[in-house]
Amino acid sequence: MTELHTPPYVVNIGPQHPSTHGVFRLRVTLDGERIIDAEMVLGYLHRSMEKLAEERTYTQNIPFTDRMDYLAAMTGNLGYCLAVEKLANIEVPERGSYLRVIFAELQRLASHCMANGTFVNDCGAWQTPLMYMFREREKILDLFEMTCGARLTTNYMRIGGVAFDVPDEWYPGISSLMGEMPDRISEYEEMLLDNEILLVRARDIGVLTPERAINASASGPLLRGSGIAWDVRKADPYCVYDRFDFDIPVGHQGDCFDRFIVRLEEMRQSVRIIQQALEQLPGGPVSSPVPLALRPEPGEAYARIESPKGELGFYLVSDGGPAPYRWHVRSPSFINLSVLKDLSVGLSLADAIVILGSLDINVGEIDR
Amino acid sequence: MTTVAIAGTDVAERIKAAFPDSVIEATEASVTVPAERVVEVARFLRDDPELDCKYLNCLLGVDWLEHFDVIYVLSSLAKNQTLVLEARTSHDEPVVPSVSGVWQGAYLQEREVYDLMGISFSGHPDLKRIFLWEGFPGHPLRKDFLALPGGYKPGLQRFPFEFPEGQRSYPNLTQPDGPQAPSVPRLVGPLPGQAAAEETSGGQLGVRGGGSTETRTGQTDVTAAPEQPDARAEPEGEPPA
Repeated sequence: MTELHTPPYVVNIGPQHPSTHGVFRLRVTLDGERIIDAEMVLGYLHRSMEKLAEERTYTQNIPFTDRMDYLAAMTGNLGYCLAVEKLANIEVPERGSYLRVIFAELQRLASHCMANGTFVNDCGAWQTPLMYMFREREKILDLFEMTCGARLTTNYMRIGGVAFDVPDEWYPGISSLMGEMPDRISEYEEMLLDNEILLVRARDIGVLTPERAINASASGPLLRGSGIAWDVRKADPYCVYDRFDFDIPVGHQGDCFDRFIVRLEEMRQSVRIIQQALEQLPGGPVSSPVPLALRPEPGEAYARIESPKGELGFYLVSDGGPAPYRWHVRSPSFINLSVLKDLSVGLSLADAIVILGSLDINVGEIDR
Repeated sequence: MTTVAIAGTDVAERIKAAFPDSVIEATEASVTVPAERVVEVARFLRDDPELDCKYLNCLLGVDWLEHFDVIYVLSSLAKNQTLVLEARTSHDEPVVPSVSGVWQGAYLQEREVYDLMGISFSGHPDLKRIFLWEGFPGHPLRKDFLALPGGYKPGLQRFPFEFPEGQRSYPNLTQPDGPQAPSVPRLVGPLPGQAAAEETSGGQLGVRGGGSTETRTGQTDVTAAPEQPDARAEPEGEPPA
């Protein structure tokens, strides 16, 4: 049978489309059902945070980091506060560091619940797995609400520590959640790893080779899915991550399914970290005193963390004033999109949706 | 295990050995090269077996008013080390050769820097705006792209609750000759009509109790200032050549 060719035509996916996870637009040029070109159109959620931050104090800028990756506000807070602390040489009390680790890992669990749930949603396992994962995410957000009053835009970390200590009712809540979480993750695996819908849609689709992953600055589960055991928590430990015992899960083929199982396994490792942190959690103050109008010495600092999406970095330039001279975010969602075109060209339109889902982008963080 | 930051001075020695006269400045934190040499230096840093900078962490532009710096944070995943490379270009005609052929990860980030900072990357395969629309006037991250008409902004002062520098108690703001909150260095020059007002009051916008009627009048004049900064008057959608 000869292949049938049609004149190339353009399909707009988005900006409002359930599979684009926000206001993200993908213009694909199709020959029949095959993608011959894919172009991203970004900026629908651009709020120019980097410019706004140049007119606000270092502390006033913390809420911006909530609104970048709004599914992982805690890690956004953490990355920024670490960068300012590096710039101004501020020490964090031990209890503050432990609480930061616990909340960052809780946030990773919540974000991976969302990522995996919507990914299998994109594959065609419609809504049910997502609702299972939302059940646990809901409990995590309750723990956030108990501590800082907010569920999504937490604004919890401060320069020099965290804003509040945890309340008494938080301890039973987190221990019961951490007790049931391994069983829940096993439940997801039982439900999904042999799921034919998922296997057929995600196996061998969107294969990213390790060399290309490094060359394209991929990070997070995208990089680890390609078989590179690189995790900033291990390679360049911040807070107190060097005191915990955990593994870096890696994929073997670099396809969409590998990214998915890397995220599932990372949830297990996050539970391990939280359990160890809760055992070691010391007493004492949660924050060191830092002036509200902080004026770091002139200089530059780049600090990075392993956010759920990948390497989240902040490059700050100070000129000695109360506001940063330059406030730059290395946003993992944005840079991970570098490979989207290469992965999708040659595949069918339906595969592009699965690839986009496996990248786990967040448009708030792409556009900033 | 912690990531080792290679000193910019050490990197400068290696770059100088390969490309003499290509280092402008080397500090502990970073090494600066002229913009036109950046691609060969980048390829050297990537392929050198000891530096092994195969991974581009991030790429950003900084507007230093008299020149632009494009900063490349590079690292080696295999050796777990990092270094910072800067490329310096002029403020009038900022052009930096694109390194997207060296690291694919630079592709989107260079488009971002072009869009928001207005630095042109020669040799980039598809250099166009990424977040803002074609035809947006100017490049917002430049320091001369400012909120007030006329290109001026009041900027951040010392805060009302904060002691002025070198002072241990709150100034008595009711006394006209008492100590006042110091003014913030301005970016472009004095506001029209404000220089005289400042000599008498010393205050500016944003200081509670500081600033006088004259200052406010001066600020009103600014909005009517005929001169517009270049960034705003730039023709639509034309990238700098």
